[in-house]
Amino acid sequence: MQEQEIDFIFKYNEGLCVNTDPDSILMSILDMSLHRQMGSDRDLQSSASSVSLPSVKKAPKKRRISIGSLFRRKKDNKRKSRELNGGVDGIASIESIHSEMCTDKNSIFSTNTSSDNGLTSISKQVGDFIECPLCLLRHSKDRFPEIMTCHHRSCVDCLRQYLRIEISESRVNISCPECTERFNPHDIRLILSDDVLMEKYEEFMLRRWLVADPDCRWCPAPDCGYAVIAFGCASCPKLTCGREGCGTEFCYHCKQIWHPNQTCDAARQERAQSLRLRTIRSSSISYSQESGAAADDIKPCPRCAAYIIKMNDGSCNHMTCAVCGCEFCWLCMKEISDLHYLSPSGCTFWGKKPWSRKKKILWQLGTLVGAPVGIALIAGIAIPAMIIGIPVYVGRKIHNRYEGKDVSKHKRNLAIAGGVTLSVIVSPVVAAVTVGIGVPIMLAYVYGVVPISLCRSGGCGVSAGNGKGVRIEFDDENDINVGGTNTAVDTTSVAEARHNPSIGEGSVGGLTGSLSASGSHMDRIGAIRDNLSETASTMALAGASITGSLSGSAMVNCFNRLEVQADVQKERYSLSGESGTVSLGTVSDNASTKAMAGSILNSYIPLDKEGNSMEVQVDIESKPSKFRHNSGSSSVEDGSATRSHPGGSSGGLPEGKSSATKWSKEATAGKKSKSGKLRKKSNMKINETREDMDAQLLEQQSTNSSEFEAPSLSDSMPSVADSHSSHFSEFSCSDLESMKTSCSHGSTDYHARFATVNILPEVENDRLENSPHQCSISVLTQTASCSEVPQLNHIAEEHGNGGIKPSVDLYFGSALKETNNNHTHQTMELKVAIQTDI
Amino acid sequence: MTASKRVAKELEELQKALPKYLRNLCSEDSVLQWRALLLPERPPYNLKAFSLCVSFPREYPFLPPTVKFTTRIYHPSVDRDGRVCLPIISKENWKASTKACRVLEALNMLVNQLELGQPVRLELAEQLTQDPELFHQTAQEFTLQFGVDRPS
Repeated sequence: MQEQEIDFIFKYNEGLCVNTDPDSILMSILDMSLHRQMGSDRDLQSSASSVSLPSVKKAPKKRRISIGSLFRRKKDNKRKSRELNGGVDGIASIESIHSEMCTDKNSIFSTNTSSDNGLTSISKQVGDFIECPLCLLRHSKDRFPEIMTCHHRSCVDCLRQYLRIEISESRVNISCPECTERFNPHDIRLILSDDVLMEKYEEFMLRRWLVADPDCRWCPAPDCGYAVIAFGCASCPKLTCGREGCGTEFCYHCKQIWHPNQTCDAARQERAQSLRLRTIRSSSISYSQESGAAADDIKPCPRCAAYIIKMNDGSCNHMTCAVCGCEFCWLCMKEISDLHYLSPSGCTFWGKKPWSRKKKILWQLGTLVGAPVGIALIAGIAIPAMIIGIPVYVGRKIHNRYEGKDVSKHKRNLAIAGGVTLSVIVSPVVAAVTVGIGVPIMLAYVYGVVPISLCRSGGCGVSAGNGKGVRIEFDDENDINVGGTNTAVDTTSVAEARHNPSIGEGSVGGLTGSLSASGSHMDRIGAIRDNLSETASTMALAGASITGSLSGSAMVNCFNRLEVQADVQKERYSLSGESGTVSLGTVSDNASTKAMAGSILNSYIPLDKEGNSMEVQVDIESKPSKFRHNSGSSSVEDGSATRSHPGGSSGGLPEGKSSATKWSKEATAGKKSKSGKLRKKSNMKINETREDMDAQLLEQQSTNSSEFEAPSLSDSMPSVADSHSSHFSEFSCSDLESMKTSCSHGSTDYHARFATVNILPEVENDRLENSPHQCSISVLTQTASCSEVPQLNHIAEEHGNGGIKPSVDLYFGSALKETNNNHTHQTMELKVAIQTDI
Repeated sequence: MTASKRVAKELEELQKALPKYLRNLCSEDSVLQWRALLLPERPPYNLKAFSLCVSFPREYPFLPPTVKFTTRIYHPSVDRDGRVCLPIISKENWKASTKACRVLEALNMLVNQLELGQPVRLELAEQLTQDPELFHQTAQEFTLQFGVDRPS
């Protein structure tokens, strides 16, 4: 196991294509994805760029490494470096590199030292001694461990101390002390030679990664350090801590103890009241949580909710969270997109107060409207000015030139006339060129940038025009817009970035009508963010019947947005969101009259030039009663609509449970993907409960990537299908073919999605890697341009819960969950690859 | 401790080849605390000298040294207590292989070139951008008033 892990890491580091070997151990995948996530992006990109694109390629020079063989490897490298330098002695080559590094620093003294180094290096070469740049002492060469990622060498004691200090400060992005290349964890392990510290390092890495995962929920019990990765649990928000002896139940949305029959807000208020009664002075943090408005100086990071303090004194508002690394604007607390500061939205680098929504919209609309007027004015003035001005100017110049000269008047006038004529001819050309260039640029800005940012920030419900893509991110909870809802049902709403649909009670109004999904206008899929507000933990279920909606939905639109109109039938509560709900594929199995899961799609569309396969993850929950259903998930690879494949369930489940579907996702770099195919993993046990599976599909076209997640998508309308063979059957292949949603995915960020992973932050016997038996791990790794074949393993998450909620099991990957509980809920995740077309 | 050894070594190297903008470089009771005199070359600071204190933490070189002005200086990146915001020694940018000579050089550049990278005193930064003349004048007066006399 160890070797394989090393192997993977090594391969990764060498920039070789990593094959998703079906037999690979989860641990290695985890490690790999972890490392990829945490490892240097630069490494990745450089390795990606160096990887040759034919995607599925076995690593050419696989070097199996075992710890023992490391020493052998050292020699290999040495030889290599020698060869590189044309036969120069290895030591000298290292030295010369080192001294080169010194000279790069452009300082007088560094040249001095480098020359010193040069001198000493020669002498050292003889004695085989190198000066360590950290302690400035000489050591023999064997005290300098080889580092995979760069050529810098420091003595092992200094390195060890360095690593020790960094890890103790929980800084896990440890880079070389001389350059910015991150260390390979393997190197770290070797250098440290300290298991305790190494475990700490790994734990911090894991924790940091978890914090960045938007689905991760920490158990609120006082002594419990476990986390639950609740992929797709927005609709059945009751989570159970997996630690034995804990078993705390808590709410997905507000992350507090489970509050049945209450909304998150109500529960919070109740808690606050009881707290106030009990103590005179509550903590300021809980108050600020209650009020929802943090004190001006303390705000939670939009991604990981770590509190950040900044003095609001006009200093730069572009923040980078120290915990999860997310960049956001301090004023509006949204993650930075490329357009954030471009459009007039009130968030400047030094602003102190964000503009109110009204002001923002006013400004932006004003720009939109006023721009053509302004542009016309400018053009109208500039053109005549240039056409007249240039000849005049030229004439004058010539006149002046001839002032002093002793030339006959006739000649002079001739010259002037000639000059003026020429410029009269030339100037319109010049004017036209100027206007022809300037005006489109201004128009592009006004009508491109401003509407995008307008719509991204939730200004309107209209689908915007040209855009490269919409980045939808998890928003912080402050951004909940309860109001703008009713667009969902009959209107197609735009998938907007950072939309935070709150599941409001009653906002469902719009959703009640069942949109007959006949794909009439489904050309857009509104994506709703996953971040459902606390308002309805129990309410958070809106039934979305996705009956035929998907059929029409997958229209490729030129805006890289998918909007699907969903049939939403609300049983109890409804999902309200500003953007349309996307429900892809109905999972409903049997109709239960209980809560329905709303569908929420999260789409991430990193603005990526090379579109690769995109995935839309749709979570479908169907109400169960006693069955588990599996929604079909289709992974789209290349574009053609495919049918979703029912996943099989794991063994051990009583009634047709979880079906595992394995997605293999191919990253197609820049290609148009043709059809999505569902691939089953060979070692997946797939129980075909065919009737239960639904297939969704999306065609993929590569350009931009977007990835949708629909945490809960369920349709359990009686009308839809009461039987197990629900809508899935409706979505036949043909239907799917008609759906041409395509999104391209080329995200450079790696997402490893884990469903319900119970993690032990404390070092305990089971580590994540070693005990997959307990958890359902779904690993979804997406690679960007690197031609890799990531695998999606999804394992349905289990909610230990009474059978009110729908459960759809979807199993992926080799770890299968043994669920024997009838009432366990499982969310099914559909991974649908969608590609949007530009 | 490797910190002291390295600091001592660096001190020795520097003292052997002192740059022209530095004088009187020496260590105090502990080798981890240095004192020096900074002689900027450009106006408005070029008429006087400023005394500095460089202090190295025990975990040096893994943690950055801190630089403090013990003479008052009218500069947007130096606060009233003499603390300097120097990017090269900020926690995020610090590299263990950076040497003290490099740090002093960066400090000299900061003082001479009056870059507005990370202003600590915003009112001075504003003044510099809006009314450089006035800024230079005030700075000069301030320097003459509080600066330390230059050695020969």
